[in-house]
Amino acid sequence: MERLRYIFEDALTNIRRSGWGGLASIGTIAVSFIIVGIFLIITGNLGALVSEWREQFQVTIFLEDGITAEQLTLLKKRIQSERAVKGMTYTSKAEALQQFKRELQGKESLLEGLGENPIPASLQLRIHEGYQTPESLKQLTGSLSRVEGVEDVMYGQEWVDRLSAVIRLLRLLGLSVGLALGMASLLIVSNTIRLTVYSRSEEIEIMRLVGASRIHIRAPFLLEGMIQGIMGAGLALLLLFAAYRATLWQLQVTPGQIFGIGVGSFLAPHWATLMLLAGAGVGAFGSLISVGRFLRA
Amino acid sequence: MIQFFHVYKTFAKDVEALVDINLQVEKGEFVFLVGPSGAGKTTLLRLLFGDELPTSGQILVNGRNVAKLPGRALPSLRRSIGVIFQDFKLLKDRSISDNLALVYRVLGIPSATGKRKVATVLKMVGLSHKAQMMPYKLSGGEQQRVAIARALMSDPLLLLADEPTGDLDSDLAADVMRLLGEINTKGTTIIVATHDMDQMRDCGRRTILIKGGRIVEDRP
Repeated sequence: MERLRYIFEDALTNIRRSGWGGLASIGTIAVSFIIVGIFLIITGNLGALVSEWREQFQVTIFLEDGITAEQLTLLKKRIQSERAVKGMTYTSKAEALQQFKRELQGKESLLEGLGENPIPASLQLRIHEGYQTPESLKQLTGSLSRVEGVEDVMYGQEWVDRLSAVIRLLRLLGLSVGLALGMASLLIVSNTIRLTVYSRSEEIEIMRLVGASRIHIRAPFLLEGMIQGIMGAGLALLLLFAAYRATLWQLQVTPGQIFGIGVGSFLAPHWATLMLLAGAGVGAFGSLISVGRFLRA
Repeated sequence: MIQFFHVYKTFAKDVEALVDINLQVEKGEFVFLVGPSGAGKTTLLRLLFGDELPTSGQILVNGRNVAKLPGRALPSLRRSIGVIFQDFKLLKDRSISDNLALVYRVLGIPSATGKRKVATVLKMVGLSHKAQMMPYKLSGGEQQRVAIARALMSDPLLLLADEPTGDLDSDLAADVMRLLGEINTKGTTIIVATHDMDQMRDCGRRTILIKGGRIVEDRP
């Protein structure tokens, strides 16, 4: 117990004594984590945006005017048997016309003289996210367009292709940038901590001389690194949050209104927690590397 | 207490620091290790507290074979040995008593016991009144006495001093030597390495002369 208390006290005293060197470590960690945090916020929001889009994504099947009730039932059954389909809604000719009129608002006169309702009835299919790939959509629409009573099948083909490419790119980019930034911050942090360890080489030497065990020499540095890491990550989160609120205020919007469709949020709590943990990890690992190198020398 | 059997120490590129050292020091002895700079005195001391390993030969310290000691057993060996240096090695960023406190904290001794120990060793070296001062406010002789006090914190059986008076004028040097003599009378074995031949003259202590890594004279 006594030892544990000493290790804690020593770590705190060391942080206090380390002065500018310690602040430099915390600052470096904070800067690295701000960059990582910005990236996380951007990808997080883009991810939310994309899943919002995917949620709304649908395939529309236009029906022939002369479709019989049996043909419609058969078609619905056929669609329900498709694994890709999450759900469907039927829009009759009359409903479709109503909808169209609503959209024209005030220019209904354009429709005058058409006489017969020209708008076809349709089925809107919502598609499971896993099947929103160009290949499976082509397969689905290809087979459905051959069913009797189907006039045409439409979906944003080009759009799906592009979105898929963008998502792939985003994932790859997120992975590589995150990895590179993680490595870079670990290097910088371990270097900064090594400077502090170096400045305390005398203390380490004396500790060895008077018979301190290896664990006892390392533990306070390890703890110090962890505390500095958490402080750095915490500072980064604080600054990011302040910047986030300031940006929202500048844009005169409330959270969730950016892009108009319910995204534009700060880091999710689990990401924030993960960043603090990563800060502790980076700090601990950084000081472990530095002290290890020094003890071997 | 200490036994060297055919100890050789060779550094990289065939630099022979110590050649066939055979030596025995009894418990409670006070020994001067004398020789010019580079003779191998410091290497010999460092072998004793396991800071260097011999290239060949055996070294027994207090019944333990230092040459074959596993790394995790080193701390317990060092707790039984006090070491002091010419440059004192005091930490400049903390007071005298905090410098001494480092030892009991590192050894995990409860703070009440540790504080009592600090008071005891400071009294022994005559610096009780300067406990709260920073090292740089003390004279060289006083700083060396603090270093000695620190070495005494763990009640060592063996005290090693590497040029303990090298930076001090002759009055202060005599002070430090007197203090080491006092500590010796309480039973602590002491080995002092020095290049200063004059210091040893007429002191009536055992003197081992070392040159070029070899013991050339052992005068009781």
